[in-house]
Amino acid sequence: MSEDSGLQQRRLKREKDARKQAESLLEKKSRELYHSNLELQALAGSLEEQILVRTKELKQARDSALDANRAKTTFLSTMSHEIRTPMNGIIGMSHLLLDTELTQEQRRQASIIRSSSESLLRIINDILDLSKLEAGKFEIQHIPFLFDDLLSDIFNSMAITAANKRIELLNLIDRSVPNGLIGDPLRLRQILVNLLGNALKFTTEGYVILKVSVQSRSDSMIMLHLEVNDTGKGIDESFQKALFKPFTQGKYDITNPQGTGLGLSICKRLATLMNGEIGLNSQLGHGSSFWVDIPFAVRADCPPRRLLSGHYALYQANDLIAPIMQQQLAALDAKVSTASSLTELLSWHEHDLANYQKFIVDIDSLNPLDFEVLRHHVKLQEASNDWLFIRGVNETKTELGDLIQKNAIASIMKPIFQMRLLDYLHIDEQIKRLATSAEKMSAEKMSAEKFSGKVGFEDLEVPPHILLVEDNKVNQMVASSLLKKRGMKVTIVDDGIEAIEICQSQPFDLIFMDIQMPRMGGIESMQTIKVRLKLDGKKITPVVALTANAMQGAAEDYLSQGMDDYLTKPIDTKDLDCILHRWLK
Amino acid sequence: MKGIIFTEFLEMVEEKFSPAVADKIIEASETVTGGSYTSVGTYHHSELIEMVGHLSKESGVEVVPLVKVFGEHLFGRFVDLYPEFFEGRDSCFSFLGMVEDHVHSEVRKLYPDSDLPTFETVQPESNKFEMTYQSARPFAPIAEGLILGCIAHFKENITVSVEDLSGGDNTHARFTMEKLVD
Repeated sequence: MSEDSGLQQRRLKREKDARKQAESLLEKKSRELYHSNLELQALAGSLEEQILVRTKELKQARDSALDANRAKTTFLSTMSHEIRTPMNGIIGMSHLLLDTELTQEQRRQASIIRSSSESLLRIINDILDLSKLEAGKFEIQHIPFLFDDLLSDIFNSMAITAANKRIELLNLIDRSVPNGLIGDPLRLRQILVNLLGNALKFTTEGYVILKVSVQSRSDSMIMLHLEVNDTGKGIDESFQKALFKPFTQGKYDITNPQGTGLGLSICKRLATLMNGEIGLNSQLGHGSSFWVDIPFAVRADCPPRRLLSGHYALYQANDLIAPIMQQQLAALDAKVSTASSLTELLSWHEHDLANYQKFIVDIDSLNPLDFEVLRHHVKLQEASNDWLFIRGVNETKTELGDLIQKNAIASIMKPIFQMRLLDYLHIDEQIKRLATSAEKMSAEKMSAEKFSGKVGFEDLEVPPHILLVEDNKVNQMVASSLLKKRGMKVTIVDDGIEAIEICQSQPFDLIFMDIQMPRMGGIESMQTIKVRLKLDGKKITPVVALTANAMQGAAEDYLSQGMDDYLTKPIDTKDLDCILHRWLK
Repeated sequence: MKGIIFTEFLEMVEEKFSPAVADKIIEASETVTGGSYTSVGTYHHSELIEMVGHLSKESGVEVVPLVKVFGEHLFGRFVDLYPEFFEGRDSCFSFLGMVEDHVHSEVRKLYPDSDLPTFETVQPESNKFEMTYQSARPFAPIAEGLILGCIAHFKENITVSVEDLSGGDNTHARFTMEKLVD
């Protein structure tokens, strides 16, 4: 019994001891857990603190980046203003210079001044555009325009660049492409100038061609397919994707940087904004083909395309170009016979004259021997009405040139622009038709009228009186010359205060008002003039803001402050004509 | 050595022999805690060896078979105490295969200071399985007992052969199992 109770006591003691061991172990583990928890909390706390510090640093970095970006935009806007003002002088004066009597050499030099300053302006505009696109401040217009005029303008502006590189610049417009469109001509122009400019830049021989066709059509909308093909080196596939990103130029950005590298990225963004697409097909060694598809609305108020009906003889010494010219004429519905040599063409001229409407020769690509043969042939012929010569922009003085001048032989300047051929040949066909149907009006008179660029205010008995308020002497001269050329009477004052004074003493039909001027700026002056005219019970003269600030939004600002219209410097003569028609007719 | 081995051993002795036998072998052994053990504690393995030795004397059963039987018993206890380790295990080989990586890594999470034996396993054929026990302590027979308990648990027809690799020290042994096709 006692042995049994002794056993139970020992068992109980062991159980107790084991419990205590377990309790002390539990306590020890609890303590360890508690300390681990404290350490974890401290760690978490310091992490949170670190996160706060980092967040603050990041916020500061972000704020300063945003500040820097805002400063960049402001700087660009200011720069654009500062650069555009002198550019206005250069471009305006070169335009005026080109309107005067010049020798061919002087004309060429003045043209270079004009085209160089225009390309400088384009670079400035590119930088401005990219910053506007980046800021999402770009608006796409929907205005009516004439597609052929737009292309003609673009091709003219590139004529010298192409001629200097001895590259043919051509276009091929499908007859299904309507001339009257509604969309954003400025942005389309920008894309095409960029693509054509690039093609010219990176092509060393051969040609650059713009092909235009209609991709698809629905109701009053069309999808225009524009394609710029060149005979350049082509672009490696690995560089193609990066091309549409800003500041990259394929491999050229390392080996041979040319330009700003902004062009294609701007084109891509513009195409996207216009609901279009842009892309590239190219293979190294096989040229490049940049294409862009953009939707436009079709104007209902434009007549269908004019077409030709005559039979034409063509000689193009450049084998690459001959088939393209043939396509150009075929697209105009003309019947074309292409001579395989100059001799063949001349024999057609000699023996089969009546069969052809005109004999078209690209004298710019003739070899010296053929050139001499042609001169001799033309010299012997009395009639000069059979020819249409295509001449190079950089043509030097030659006997054939003199002969063309003396005999008034029809000629058009390169680039070989399809619509220029059409313009000339269509009128020629009309004249011939009129002449044969013995119309009273002589053909020469009609032709002369077609080509005189009348603006329309010269006929008025009392010319409109314009007040020009502008402090810069060069700008004064450019603007007043342009206005006087359009039959205006122009009075010039130097600042806002003088403008107020002169408006009290005499009436004006229209006021052109610079914005930034010493003593008193344009806005304040305009507002004062309008209030005083109103108080005096006089007719309120419309005021057009004259501004070098091309940042979008500035114009809206001026209009909201009371300006009736605005005109951006450098003055675009078409815009000027629009404004004059709007306010004076 | 983990306390659970001690508590399970003594409970087995009390249950299978008698509380008096358990008391006797404790009293006969030199133990630090006077024979009081808690499953969450850690104790020196020599205490277990000593108690097993006294049990052998007391019962007249050789030490090694005694330890083997204890191993077998211990496995059944593990099944009751830690069912989570057996979830999704449907065969002896699949359970033994995860002892080293899964069970022992769980043990180490709770007891970072525990000095566990290693069980290296190889399955050369689908019906063959090799497990190599290596430890600082001479408990290969416990391992063998555990393996036998495992085979019994999964009710499989598997033979076990033992090869001692430690020259009779029982610290390093290879168990080769072969599953017989029914």
